Amino acid sequence: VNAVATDGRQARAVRLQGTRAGVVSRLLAALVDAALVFLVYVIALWAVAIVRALGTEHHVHQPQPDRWVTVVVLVAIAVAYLTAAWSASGRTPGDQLFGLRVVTLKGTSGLSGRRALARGVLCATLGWLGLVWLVGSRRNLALHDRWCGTAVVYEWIAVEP
Amino acid sequence: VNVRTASLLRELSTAPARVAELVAPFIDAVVERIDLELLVDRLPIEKLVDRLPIEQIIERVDINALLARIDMDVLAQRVIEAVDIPAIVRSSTRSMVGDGADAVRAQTAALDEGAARSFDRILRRRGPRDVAMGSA
Repeated sequence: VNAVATDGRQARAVRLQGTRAGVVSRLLAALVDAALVFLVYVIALWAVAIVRALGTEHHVHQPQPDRWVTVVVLVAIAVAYLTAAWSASGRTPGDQLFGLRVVTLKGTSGLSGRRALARGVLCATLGWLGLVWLVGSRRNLALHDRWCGTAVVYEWIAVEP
Repeated sequence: VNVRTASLLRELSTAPARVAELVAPFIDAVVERIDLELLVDRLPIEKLVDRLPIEQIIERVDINALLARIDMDVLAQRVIEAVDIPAIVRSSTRSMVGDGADAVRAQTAALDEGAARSFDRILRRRGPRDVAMGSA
């Protein structure tokens, strides 16, 4: 009985491969990526604080940057992170974790640098709005998908074409 | 007289062989008619086996000599060749790491479908979403 249940689940998972993913997977993947971007930011902040303190007599203090610095640096890190991931493999670490891949509307993986950059800028600035759009989209396309000609598909099992 | 006695003795000495020649076909015929299976069925084989001094037979076999005859290197090589160890390691590690992640992925994909259905009901839409690539 267990084997049959596993087979059924496997068949379902195989059917899903290559179809456009829904909001829950994409939101969770985005949260993982956001956490990673924030981690990179915190590490960078401390690295700068330590390097600054090296030549002086001061102790290393907890860095407290201005709010606008935080926003600009976070967006910059996010854009670089997203653009690099999507133009290379089409998946960020968050996408990888939830078995997603960003492809063009034709289904080819590995976005061009320009398309990946445009999508990265949109996601890093209007990402949440884009995902809200996805909730109402009959074709499971986010706002940034529509504007960049991309889609996000399930792809965690290698399925023969 | 002596000559006759001698020839008689000669004939007598070949008598058993001649008798055997005469009887042999009959015995063959009888043996052919015996149902061997029936005979075997009748034999108390378990009792016979019980009687065999197996312990003693084993004691007599020199296992070390037997082992010395086997080329262990070749044997080990063959066993390793027959068992694809890297494949076993690959599949076991992959299933350990992969099964958990795949289960999470399938779970979130199911949540995606559930969420889409709920939102579509709120938006009063009918039919499933169009999620197949190539149809966008």
